[in-house]
Amino acid sequence: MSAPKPLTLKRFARAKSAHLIAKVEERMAAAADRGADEESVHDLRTSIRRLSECLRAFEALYPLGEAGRLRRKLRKLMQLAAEVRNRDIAGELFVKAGLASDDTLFVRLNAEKHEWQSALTDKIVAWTEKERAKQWRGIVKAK
Amino acid sequence: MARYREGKMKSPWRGKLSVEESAAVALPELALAYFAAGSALGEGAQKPEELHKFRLKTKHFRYTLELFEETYGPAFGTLLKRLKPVQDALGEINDAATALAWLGRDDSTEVKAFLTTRIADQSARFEKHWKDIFDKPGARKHWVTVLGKAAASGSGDGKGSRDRRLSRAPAPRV
Repeated sequence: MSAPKPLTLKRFARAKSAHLIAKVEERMAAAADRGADEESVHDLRTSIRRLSECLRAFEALYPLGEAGRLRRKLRKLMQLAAEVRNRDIAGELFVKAGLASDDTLFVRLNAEKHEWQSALTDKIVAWTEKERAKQWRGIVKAK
Repeated sequence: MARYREGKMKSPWRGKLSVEESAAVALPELALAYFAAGSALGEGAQKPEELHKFRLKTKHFRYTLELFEETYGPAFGTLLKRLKPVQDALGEINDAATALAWLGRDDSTEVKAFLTTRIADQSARFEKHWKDIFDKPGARKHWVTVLGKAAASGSGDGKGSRDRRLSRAPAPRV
């Protein structure tokens, strides 16, 4: 009986991408369900970052241009998530700085945060309706 | 990594090699590039933009390493842990800088002073960690050695083709 063939990097990269795309889809659904709260946004950002890094590192191993296209789309989602996250972090820092909880800065910060949370959940819903992620998974696994 | 995209440098990844062979060739190169970028920052007050760029490099490096976590032994996990304080300090700097930018012209001098102090403290923390851990003698060599030893590839011949491949590849200069 012959020894099993070693896993090539190309096959590894495709399998890893498929797994990470599934993770992003899962985290997107959770973020939409939970109105893009702090924890779900953190989890979503982490999953996007891991997938983006995989696509970035192994760009040359995917069909030409596909990894870049996917990364650009992920970047848009990441930007919206970053807007929400930045306001969460700014709020925490303002508390540490001793700002009173009824300060108008918090009112402004929270109002902006809610707007970005809506924008993010809208984007996720639109994305899910188009089933883009599934399409991407096919692209990454193809060839 | 940016140099690969600009076409100035060939990608270190070889799709036809086994995962272990490829990681053992590419990751030491990436580590050396990362060390060079960190050391190039130098001592003393770095510009926030430079620290931000290095924060992104740290993230890219760490997440790339994490892709291969299952390919290496326990020493690999220790290396990853050494990156975390770098990423944490640089992340704190970025968070404070982002909050400062959000405040803009708002007349909140105490909060701004708090954030500015935080940036300075975290910059010092980053600098110390880099000096103590990454700039110490033998650190680069250790990283290159650990990353050059991915688990046996199971190539079928019982000897592993990685060693032969590595012997043909130019050894990274430490």
